[in-house]
Amino acid sequence: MSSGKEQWGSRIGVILAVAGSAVGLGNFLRFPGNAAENGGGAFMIPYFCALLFLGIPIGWAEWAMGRYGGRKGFHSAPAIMGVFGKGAVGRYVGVIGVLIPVVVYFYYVIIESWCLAYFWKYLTGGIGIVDGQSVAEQVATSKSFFEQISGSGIDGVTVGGDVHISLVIWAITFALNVYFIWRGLSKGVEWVCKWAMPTMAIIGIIVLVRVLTLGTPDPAKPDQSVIAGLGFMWNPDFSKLGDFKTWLAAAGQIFFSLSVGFGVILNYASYMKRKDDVVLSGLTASATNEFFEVALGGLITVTAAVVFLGIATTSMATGSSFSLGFNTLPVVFARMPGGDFFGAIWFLMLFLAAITSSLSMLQPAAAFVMEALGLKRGPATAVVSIGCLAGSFFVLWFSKGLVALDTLDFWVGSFMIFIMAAAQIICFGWVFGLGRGIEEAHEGAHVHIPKVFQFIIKYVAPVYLIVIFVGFCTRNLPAYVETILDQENPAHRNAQLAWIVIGTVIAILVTVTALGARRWRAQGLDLDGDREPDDVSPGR
Amino acid sequence: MENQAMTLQPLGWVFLIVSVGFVTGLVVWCYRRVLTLPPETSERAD
Repeated sequence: MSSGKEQWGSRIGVILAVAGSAVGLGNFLRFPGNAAENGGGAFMIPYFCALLFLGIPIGWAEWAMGRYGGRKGFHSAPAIMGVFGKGAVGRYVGVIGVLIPVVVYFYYVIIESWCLAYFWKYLTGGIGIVDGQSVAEQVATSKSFFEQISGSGIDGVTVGGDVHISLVIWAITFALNVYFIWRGLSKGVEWVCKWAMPTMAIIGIIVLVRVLTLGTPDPAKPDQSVIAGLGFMWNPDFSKLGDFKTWLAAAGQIFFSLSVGFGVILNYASYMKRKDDVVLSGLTASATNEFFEVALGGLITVTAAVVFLGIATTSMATGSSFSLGFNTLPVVFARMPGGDFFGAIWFLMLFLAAITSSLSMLQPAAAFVMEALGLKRGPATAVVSIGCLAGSFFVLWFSKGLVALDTLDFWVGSFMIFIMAAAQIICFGWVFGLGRGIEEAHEGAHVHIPKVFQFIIKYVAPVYLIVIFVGFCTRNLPAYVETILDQENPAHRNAQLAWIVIGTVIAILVTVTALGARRWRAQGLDLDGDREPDDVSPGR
Repeated sequence: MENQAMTLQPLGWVFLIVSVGFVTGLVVWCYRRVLTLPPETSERAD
């Protein structure tokens, strides 16, 4: 195997890498709005239920599956799922585990570049919000700036005509990602995460202290205070617990926040050695994500918005991560003493959160190309980069209304993650066998999975997942299916084009998987999981 | 929800402290366990 020599440099390295993959913009922008809109403090009940019954169990299964697959010499989701699914069906379902990170990367790297653009703008004087204007005027300025940066006003604006700053920053962001992937697992991904994660924690705590010490900046507006902001976020509205939407929102938040079902943990864990712990490592990575989400995101974003903008304006923004992050928060920083400094470090933190996540999307793709086609890391990185460049360019060009981005995010970044996670947990608990799976997870483990979690992995998590998935489809699918089928409304054209992109990527990945299967069979590898691992990868 | 948000109510404090306390305690416990494990016996290299 051409990637057989790659390993993590240290125990903490893989933990920080998985945590880096999980901690992203959603921790700071999606979670606070989600919680505030769905019951405040009461939201934490379904949230922690989802953490205990979905996120952590599926995460443990994915870590164990990844390491087991690595022992057989495999590092990609199709190969590993082929082992656990005992054949071709598992293998081709596993294609989803490459499709998701690749397609999500197409648009995620663009959002990441927005963070870098905002960081740069704050370093060089701000985004043009004028002191003394009303909140409404400042929000309008902020929205206008966001439209320029994102090109959401019209297709092609960021790449047509004169070189647009967004294009330059996207290119820089893309190049940085490619560089670190090319450098490899330990010198690239792990190195970035070892620096980025502590930096993010420090910045997060600085901003948290700043926000919690704001008090009531305008005594004439006593409702705009830290306590009011915390109240808006944390006062429980128990009536929301009777609404399925709240449970759906909480499960969705946990699910996407922990990056389970993404194909990333499968890949990252595959570079671990047989005696490397996966249970404590998996729990630590999840705990890290939860700290950033609940202790930082949950205390900073909405609180700061209420302090400077009031509850009404904040309420309008909490329904959309983009709106909260890129329209509302800049106004908050404009009104905050030292706002340019705090704005700069805040968007730097978001950029670091994003790049540790985007690297985790490119890495499984590179690993897949390496092991399916027998390429070394350099050429594999080039192949993946060219493909992702085309995909990202598509999203950059067809930017009007962010419809293409939203379509990719719904179908691949949401819908298919449910499918992949369900496939994983069912393969682990039912096809491979729970007993074998737990035994594998306990190899080298420094803590053991509590017995109750074994029951949860086999019975509770799959049922919970399926119920949530059915609810998700019932609420969201009709509208998205309509945009694909509707040939008359020009606003839906970009959604249809997005599906052509998805279909193309699927076709390519299925073809490469078929080529890979032939290769692995010729190499005598156990791609259908018929034998116990013979620990193919070196270093064992 | 808006009328209640004028201040952080007692139950709000409970949810805040328990939630933030839980995730903070969990992450501290985890890293303490990880960082106090015996050193890894073999050198790794990429």
